Amino acid sequence: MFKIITAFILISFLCSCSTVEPWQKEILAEQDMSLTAQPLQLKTDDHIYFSKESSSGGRGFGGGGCGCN
Amino acid sequence: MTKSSKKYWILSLLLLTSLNAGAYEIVNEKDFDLQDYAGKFVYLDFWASWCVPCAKSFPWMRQLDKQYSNDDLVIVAVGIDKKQDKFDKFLQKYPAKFTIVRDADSKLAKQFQLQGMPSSYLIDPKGEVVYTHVGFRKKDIPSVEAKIATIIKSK
Repeated sequence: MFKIITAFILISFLCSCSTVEPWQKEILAEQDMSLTAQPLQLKTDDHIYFSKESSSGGRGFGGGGCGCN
Repeated sequence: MTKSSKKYWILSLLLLTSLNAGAYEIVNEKDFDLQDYAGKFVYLDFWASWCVPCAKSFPWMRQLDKQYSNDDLVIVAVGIDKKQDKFDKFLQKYPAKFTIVRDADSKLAKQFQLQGMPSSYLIDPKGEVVYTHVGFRKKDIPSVEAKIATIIKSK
């Protein structure tokens, strides 16, 4: 049982986040990969989010991809 | 030659000249070697069709190319698109007069370990990277131009 639990924990660590390099964003930047079909609405939502949280981004890459706000 | 045929001949000549004005050389990453540009400054820019600031940087690079045409600054723009049609469409929309390198396997991008898109590197005549710039904003243009001018004058 202990071995199974240890194996499970180890496997779950293997599934951690991985970095997407700038040259790997081609598919992520496609419109189909956007979280919403309404870019204008997404922009408005992002603006509201930025005003409230002082941060933005992380929703899509089509808008820039330069790694800046 | 009749008057009308002369007119058509001049028109076609003008059309050919204008088509040639947007001509550029596309080199495959395998055939590209930075050492071929030894003795010259190289402005190496990485772009992609999906990168919005990259599109904005192209007209500026054309202007830079014109500005330094006699000063041994060569502009090389490396496209990292995997899809050929998107690569071609981008260049049709934003024609370049400088050398274009197609890096579909991202070999050059990995070699330079890009931090963002677009990424630009100014390489001196010895082949060393002397200036790096990530992203492209219109407000950055004067400072980038000043930096390039200072580096080129100092060498």
